[in-house]
Amino acid sequence: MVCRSCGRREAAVVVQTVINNQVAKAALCSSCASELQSDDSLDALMEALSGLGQRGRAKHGRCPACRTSFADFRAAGRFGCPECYGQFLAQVTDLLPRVHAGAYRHRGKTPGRR
Amino acid sequence: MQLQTMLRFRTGWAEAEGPEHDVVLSTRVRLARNLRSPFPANAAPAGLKRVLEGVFAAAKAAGLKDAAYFKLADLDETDRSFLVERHLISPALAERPAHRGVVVGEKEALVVMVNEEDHLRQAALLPGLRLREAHAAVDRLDDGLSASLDFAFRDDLGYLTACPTNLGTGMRASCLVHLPALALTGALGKLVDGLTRAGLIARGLHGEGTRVIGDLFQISNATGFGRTEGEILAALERSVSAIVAREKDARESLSTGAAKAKLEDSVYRSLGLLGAARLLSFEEGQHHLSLLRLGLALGWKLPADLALVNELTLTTQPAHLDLLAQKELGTLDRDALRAALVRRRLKTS
Repeated sequence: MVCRSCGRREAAVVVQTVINNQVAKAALCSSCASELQSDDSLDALMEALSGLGQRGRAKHGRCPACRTSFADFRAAGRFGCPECYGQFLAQVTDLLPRVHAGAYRHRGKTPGRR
Repeated sequence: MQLQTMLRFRTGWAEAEGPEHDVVLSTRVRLARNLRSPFPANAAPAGLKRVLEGVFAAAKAAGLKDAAYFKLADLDETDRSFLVERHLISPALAERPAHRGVVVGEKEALVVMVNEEDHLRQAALLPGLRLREAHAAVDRLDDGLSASLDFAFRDDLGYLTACPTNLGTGMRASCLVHLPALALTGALGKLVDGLTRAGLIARGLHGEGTRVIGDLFQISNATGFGRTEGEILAALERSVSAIVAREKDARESLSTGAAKAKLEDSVYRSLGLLGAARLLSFEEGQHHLSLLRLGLALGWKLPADLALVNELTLTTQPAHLDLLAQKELGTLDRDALRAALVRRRLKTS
């Protein structure tokens, strides 16, 4: 089985974590497993980003507004401008449930609506 | 050093009032918002300047007329550190002052940081456990600001932020809690693990891990995406209330039976030291103020009150003392001033 995080090395361990009382499991190589920390959403983001490694190498183009590439985002963990979300929507949609405890859609305040 | 006058004003959120204030010092709810232009880390100076001026104008229009408007580049390092110690700006904002700013409302109850990681970080701060009130206050401010600012938003993703971890509601709600009894009984580690499983984050206010100074912890939601503001606040309130109950149980068991003499000895030693020391480091001061606060919260007759302990917890920080002295102090002079300030305030209380 290939490592869920880097997608390159052979998985050596199954890591189990509990997020919002739901069990999440992932098969990881020993290198990725040793880097894993689960106490912060930023850590979860970095973990999820490394999981996007293989697809991240493919061509996604650049944000038409600020010229940020997906590689720039992967390196910094930050987008360049709000337009980046539209440009990299497929990757963001893949990333969000892993960073936000399974959530995939906004349910909170909407400007001008109560 | 321009901010000496702020030393004279009592910080609203540090008043000893509000529900559960003997454990929950304060509640803070912040909202991250961005305009439809490059995020601050990716913006040119001219763009940052436009955002700063636009947000200041919008804040005035939104009713923050009597607020203080600070451009951080106009302040020196001590002033900026003072604002960090006061929890009004983040260390990240203080480190990059060019075209950064902060709006500080009356009694420091509303704050808007400009050009931090996101264009706006609005926050409401209240004493005690008051998540819904704090959220209502910052939500009103958000409505006021959005009347003149066009926030970046998508129906599917919510408010768009530089980091996807803040996406959605852009909300981070947190409570500053004092947990000396759970620290003394060694129950903190397990508690932090439980919070993580519940989707919350617990961090020491000063220091980390086993080196948390003053037993003060910030407990906040880990994520603000995929749930409504009300759901996030309700989950946090449940967890904080459970922590308050556990801390009170631990206080009860430490202050009854055979354990009481030991705790009394610790609290009175701290009181004695605070009232007599000629040199007091920040860490030592926070440690003994924590024990004094515990004694007061237990209702013991001690020559101080929780409001004074809150005040000293804030005013004995390094930049506060430098502002008081109106110069940058060396470590020894600062420790001497801290000790003198604590002695004087305990004597006059």
